[in-house]
Amino acid sequence: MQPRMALEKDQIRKVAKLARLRLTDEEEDIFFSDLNKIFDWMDHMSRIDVSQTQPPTSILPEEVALRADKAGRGEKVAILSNAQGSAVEGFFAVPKVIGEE
Amino acid sequence: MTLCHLTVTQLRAGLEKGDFSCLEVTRAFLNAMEAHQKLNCYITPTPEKAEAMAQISDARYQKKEARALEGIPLAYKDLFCTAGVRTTAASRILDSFIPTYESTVTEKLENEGIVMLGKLNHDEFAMGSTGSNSYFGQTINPWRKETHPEHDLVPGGSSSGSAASVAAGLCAASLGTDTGGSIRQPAAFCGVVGLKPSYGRCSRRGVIAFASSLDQAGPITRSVEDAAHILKAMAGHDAMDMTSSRLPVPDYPASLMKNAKGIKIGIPKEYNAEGMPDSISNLWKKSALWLQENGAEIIDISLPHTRYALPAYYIIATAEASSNLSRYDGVRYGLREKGDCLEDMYEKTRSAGFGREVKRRILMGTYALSAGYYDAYYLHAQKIRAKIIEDFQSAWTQCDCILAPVTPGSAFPIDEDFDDPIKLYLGDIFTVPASLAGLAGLAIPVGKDDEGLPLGMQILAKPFNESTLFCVGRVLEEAAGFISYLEDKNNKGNENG
Repeated sequence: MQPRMALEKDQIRKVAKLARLRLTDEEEDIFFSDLNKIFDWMDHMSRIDVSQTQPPTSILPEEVALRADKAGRGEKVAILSNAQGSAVEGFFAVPKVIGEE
Repeated sequence: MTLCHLTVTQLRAGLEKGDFSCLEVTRAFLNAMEAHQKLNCYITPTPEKAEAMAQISDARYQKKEARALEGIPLAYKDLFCTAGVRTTAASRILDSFIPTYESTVTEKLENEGIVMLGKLNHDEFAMGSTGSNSYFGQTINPWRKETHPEHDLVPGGSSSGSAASVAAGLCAASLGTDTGGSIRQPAAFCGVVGLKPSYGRCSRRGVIAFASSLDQAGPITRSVEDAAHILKAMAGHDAMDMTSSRLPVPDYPASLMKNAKGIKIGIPKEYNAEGMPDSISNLWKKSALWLQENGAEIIDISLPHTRYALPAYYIIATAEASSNLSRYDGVRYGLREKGDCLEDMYEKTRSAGFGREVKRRILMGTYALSAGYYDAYYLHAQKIRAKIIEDFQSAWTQCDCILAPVTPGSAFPIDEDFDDPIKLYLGDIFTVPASLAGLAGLAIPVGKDDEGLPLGMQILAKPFNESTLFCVGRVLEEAAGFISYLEDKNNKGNENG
């Protein structure tokens, strides 16, 4: 692992965009400083040679078993749509996504 | 001592004998919750539901149909989905979310007859170790420093309300979740018992996800025996969670009858952290001695990659969190802020709905998974995780369990500077390695520091060896003689304040 390059402010903005977060100027300053400090602190990870190590595929000591591909219990539409509180005629009402510019 | 300070086992015995009714017990806890609102343990108390459940339990006792935990008042961290009862994850983004289904573990506990008192406060989405990252305000530790009783202390986190409520007698036991120490650390700060079961021992279905390869639900109690009873009720395979184990659930309470004779206890040299207070290192030595006096064999062991566990944990946990929390987009759950377009609505909703620590961790995780950085951070951290697992596998060839402190210090004042995230992350140094390896861990209060605050030790065992934890834990608990309920003098500051 190569020594880390400092994060620039425009990278913070790019990461925030990827994460669908809009940061205030104050937050941008705080996270710019925090993330640089945190990743600097994490940098000692790079000292360990793991080139011959495989990452774990599962934390369970047994093989993960998939359940049968059979229809099981489902949530009732009426319960689901009432719970969300934004049901229209038994359907979820969500913001319009088609026809935007 | 009141009804509110009895253990689950004592309450169950008293209910069976008819010394008191489930409704009396439930009302005693509801009154205590009302009297100690200042501790801010509960986000959503459910008194009407609790009284209705208690009446059902009383009827079952009368008909001699009482189940294993009939009438025992419990409360859940507000991360467990409860059908028809608001579940917030202590976040603004879910502050009006009412689940349509019950989490598997709470469903199992209710099938054993428990009474639910309400939903407990915690750090937002289980991210934090102080209880201060909640949209619903800071939970206060019922313990106080002898020299400065006027200072409110943090209860630890993220299961802050789960630990503080048990310590203050506001529920008989509680459920928390542990991702990197979130059950064990607050249990240690509040002088109660906290169990992180092995990864896969309990179903995660219906538990709001933080980091799916690490999260595990477990009980916080006033005794090791109580933890054994509650784990027995909540453990087991769930077809709806493919990461829950198919291994049979042993009779955990039966393991309490065994002694520690011949059990090999490893003491990891790498946990001798620089700057550890004498009170903790002395209690660590004393705990080893107590176990030795009870027939256990103490062995020095090495876990050479311990120092890399914390940064690896913070990469893996935040990477998983950034993915898990992407579902909160204003479309399907809770908060929705109006926007000019879909993208605008996503960003406004998420920016208004998440608190600062959650945003910080989402940014860290997104960065660690982003193009060009994945190999350097996420993959590297996963390989370190493999090394940590190897360390423990090697240790298990020498010992049956491991004894170590839970935290590098005791509870600290809530007005202390929380602005340095690294300082707070370092507090997880002893709990994170076991989480990465999916081990079982049991935190037990064993003594107090110079200020009269509780200190805990943890016993770690290889995955699915909780029975060994309960056996050794019971011996340590009895030797330490720590009383897991607060005398009136300790609570005075809160009652008067």
